[in-house]
Amino acid sequence: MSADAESRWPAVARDYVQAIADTKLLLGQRYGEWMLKGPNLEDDISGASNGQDEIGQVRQLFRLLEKQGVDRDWLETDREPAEYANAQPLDEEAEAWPTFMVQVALSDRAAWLLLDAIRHEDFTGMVQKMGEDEYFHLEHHDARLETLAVDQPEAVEAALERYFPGILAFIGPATYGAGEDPLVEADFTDRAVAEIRGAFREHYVDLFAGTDVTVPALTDDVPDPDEWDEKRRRSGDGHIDQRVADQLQGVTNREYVIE
Amino acid sequence: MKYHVFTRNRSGDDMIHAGTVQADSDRLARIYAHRTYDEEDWDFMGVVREEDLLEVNEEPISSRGVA
Amino acid sequence: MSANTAGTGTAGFSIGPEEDADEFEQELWATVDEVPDPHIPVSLVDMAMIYDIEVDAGEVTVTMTYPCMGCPAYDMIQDDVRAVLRTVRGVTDVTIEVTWDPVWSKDMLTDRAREELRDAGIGL
Repeated sequence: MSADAESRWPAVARDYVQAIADTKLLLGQRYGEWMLKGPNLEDDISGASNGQDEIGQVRQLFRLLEKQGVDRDWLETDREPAEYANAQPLDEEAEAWPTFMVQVALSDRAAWLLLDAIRHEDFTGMVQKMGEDEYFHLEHHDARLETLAVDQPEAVEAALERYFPGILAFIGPATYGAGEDPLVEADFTDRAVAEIRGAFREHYVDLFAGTDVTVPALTDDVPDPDEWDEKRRRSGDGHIDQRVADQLQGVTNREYVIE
Repeated sequence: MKYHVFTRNRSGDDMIHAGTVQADSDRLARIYAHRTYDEEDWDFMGVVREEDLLEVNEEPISSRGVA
Repeated sequence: MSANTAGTGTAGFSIGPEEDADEFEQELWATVDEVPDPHIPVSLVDMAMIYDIEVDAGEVTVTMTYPCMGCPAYDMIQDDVRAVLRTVRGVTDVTIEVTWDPVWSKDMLTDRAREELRDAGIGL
């Protein structure tokens, strides 16, 4: 590996990759929880594959974070729930199938858009490889949301309203336009947050065109730029349950680990 | 809806009936087929709605129908 | 795709030791070639998962990739590579670097791997 590839990323880039990695970690968890609860076996099989893909991607993102000086034990097994920087919608386990589909669809797509914006050489090939996985995740979500928008439009719209603010906070504040996005300024990404927000919403407007589902509007004060936590890419101090953190860290299975 | 999944390993090979998937749309059927049956690097994979699969019957032709 | 797309195609991609590799490097490649892919009956070298092996005074660095990022045998494969190389006389340490550049593709498989996979009834 070249010396350049070993160079330090700016702190904002480390936080950005940490938030993507933790979002994928929680996606893996939520796909796992729903693995046997989908409406049919085919959804369960797809969901199980999605979960495995996410965990594989997390492993690579953690590897890069470790090279950037982030402690491996902290990443994997030694964290408080409030130290996870996952997209806020993934804090909770969705109680119904349409809610779950909206939750993972928005989170997985947003995480992909943030990843795909990275232009740093440490990600060469890796993001392309992740894209091979993500095609099937996003296609599954969109195909499912198309049918749900016809069968259960109210449930889909309610879930969109519930999760949109948290997802916009994960993508970032509207004030991060072309000249103001610190990651673009640092040459770490090549697509400003404000542009990603627009593209993200536009995707769902197109997907739900002709259905009874309305996609929430983009408002510049969601998230409130003054309240926004750059490290955890959200507003407020919500977090996953301790029980979920224990599962992510393998607390109850630790006695079976072969060192 | 029930879909039948057909695959082949190489161009020119016979098509194999790999199995079936239940799906609410063609788009979902494609994804489910891939996720369920992608254990090989198929040259081709396709899905057919069961309702579009027409049975070919062998029925005796009435002798009076033959001029 | 954006700037993080690796070079397209595998032109110039070669598996195994460079032509000017010394005997020790050749031995290291031959040793790693004994490690089977846990899923199918070909070696990691024939699967084109080993991109490079470098030696610096007994310290070996293996640069490798995976056909699947979510490989369940990810750690097991690395443990196998480390274990087999540590038995080679002259090796003091083994480091494994994972890379995705270039992204693995089936076009990289060696002819031997293609033949063995076909014999095992696995389609390409």
